[in-house]
Amino acid sequence: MVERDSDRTGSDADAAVTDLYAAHWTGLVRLAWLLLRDDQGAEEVVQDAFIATHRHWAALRDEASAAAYLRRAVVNGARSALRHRGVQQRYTDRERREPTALGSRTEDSAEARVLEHETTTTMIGALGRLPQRQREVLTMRYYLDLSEAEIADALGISAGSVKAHAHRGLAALRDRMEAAS
Amino acid sequence: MSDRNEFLHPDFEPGEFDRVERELRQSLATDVRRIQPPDRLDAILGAAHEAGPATGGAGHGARRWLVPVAAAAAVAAVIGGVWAANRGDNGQQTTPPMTNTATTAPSTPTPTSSSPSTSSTSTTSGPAQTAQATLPVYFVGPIGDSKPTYKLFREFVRGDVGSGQSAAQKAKAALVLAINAQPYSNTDGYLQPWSGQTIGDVQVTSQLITVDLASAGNPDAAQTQEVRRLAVQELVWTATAAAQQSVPVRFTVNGGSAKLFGSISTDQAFKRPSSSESWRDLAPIWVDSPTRDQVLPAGKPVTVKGQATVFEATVAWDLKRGTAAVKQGHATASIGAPDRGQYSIELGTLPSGTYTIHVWEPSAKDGSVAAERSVTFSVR
Repeated sequence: MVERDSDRTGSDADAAVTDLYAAHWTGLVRLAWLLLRDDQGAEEVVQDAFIATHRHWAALRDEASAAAYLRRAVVNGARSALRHRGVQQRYTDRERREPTALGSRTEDSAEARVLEHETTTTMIGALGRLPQRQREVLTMRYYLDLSEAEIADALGISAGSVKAHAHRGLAALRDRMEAAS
Repeated sequence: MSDRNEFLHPDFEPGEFDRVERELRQSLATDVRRIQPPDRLDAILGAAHEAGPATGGAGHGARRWLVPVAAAAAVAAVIGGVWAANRGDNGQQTTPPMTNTATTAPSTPTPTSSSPSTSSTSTTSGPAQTAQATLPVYFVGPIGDSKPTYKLFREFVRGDVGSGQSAAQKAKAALVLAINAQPYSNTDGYLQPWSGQTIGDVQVTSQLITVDLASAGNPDAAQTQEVRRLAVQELVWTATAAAQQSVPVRFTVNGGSAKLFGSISTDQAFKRPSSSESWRDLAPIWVDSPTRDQVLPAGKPVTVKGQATVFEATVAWDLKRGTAAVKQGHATASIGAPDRGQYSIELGTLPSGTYTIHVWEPSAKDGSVAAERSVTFSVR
């Protein structure tokens, strides 16, 4: 009754997803957290993205396209979570009200405030007040080190738009950082 | 980083954003440092197997925006307890449609598996159908040092889960597999601490998994206190992985309390250790793929993947074809002990044959083998 898994597609997908998980789980949860500012929500969005990747493995076939698919699923999932749960509104409200807040983990914030540099709090606060697209582009670029083409693919926009969003975002951040210093 | 230079718009001066770029990069890295997501690989694999492969694929490129969201939504619905009625995407698993009323209430139902014979109880029409699922199952095995030290290894084993596929049924099916290490005792030296055991009623709630055992366990089958502890943890890891719920586990023996193996009281909840303490339970080196005796296609590069909790995140490996050494090298896991990292070894394309990949942790003290794992596979 005990039988080894002989389903090639299934075990291929297991192996592929296990490998993708090793390479991308923490990074993508952190990306989702940067976009969502919600621990539980970030993990769920990324978990769903991995499950979807496993289920579509037959159509994806190689890890490069699977990684791209994962990123699209995470960005979409985060955006949809923001939309449906109104997290974005709460996030922007909180950032406006309390520009030095470091996210939703209030139990950590006392310690965090001591540890984090002022630059970080100012920068993250400024990032949080950028339009969603700019925030997405800058987060993927400067946290995940994704290329312009990878960001364009993940967001479903052109490379030119990625450039434009990156520039508006960076310019706004620079102005706010200068104003704050 | 290859397109670093072309990333910025040509209208801007080179270096104009250097400072804000650097600060942004540092700020993001600092900001996410305390986000340490717990391990969810078992839950991901379990849920993916439960949902089965997605059908179709036509127009995949054109609908690339819709597909991930739809799939994620579908999976979320399944996880939330709202079962899609028909999953006839896998020919061999003709699971009868579940007719649970769809409800948006987030409360987790309390499924109970009937004991001890799960199959063939409720047959409303036609012959009883059991479904198969790939289940994560943990075993107590030697880590490969000279003592020897025992820890847990994970196998993915296909087993019968009954037609309902509830979390409780899956947990029970995986536990039934976990107490029978006999298929692996010769090949991997897995211990059989639960020899003669029977898994009774298994209940899964969002707070707790309860497992009833027929006996408290034979102390002679688990001679040291550590093996007894691991034998209990083996069931904890298996039940939580199969049920996809990281919750405490309680045991009863014939419905009452007892001392497992004569020494471990059931009057306590057992848990998986936290991720930075997983080394207490898990063997330092796992090889996840290739799986044992897997046949890989010739002409395709072979990659070995696994998990390791090793000093300085370093593992050594060698590849043998029969007794002849083919290749050897070192690999670096994603993180070093005490955390558990993932490693990957590219073996390249291999000529047809039967190979054994041997991965080990050299002892920091004297270079002897502190832990090891070997897996034999074929290329054809």
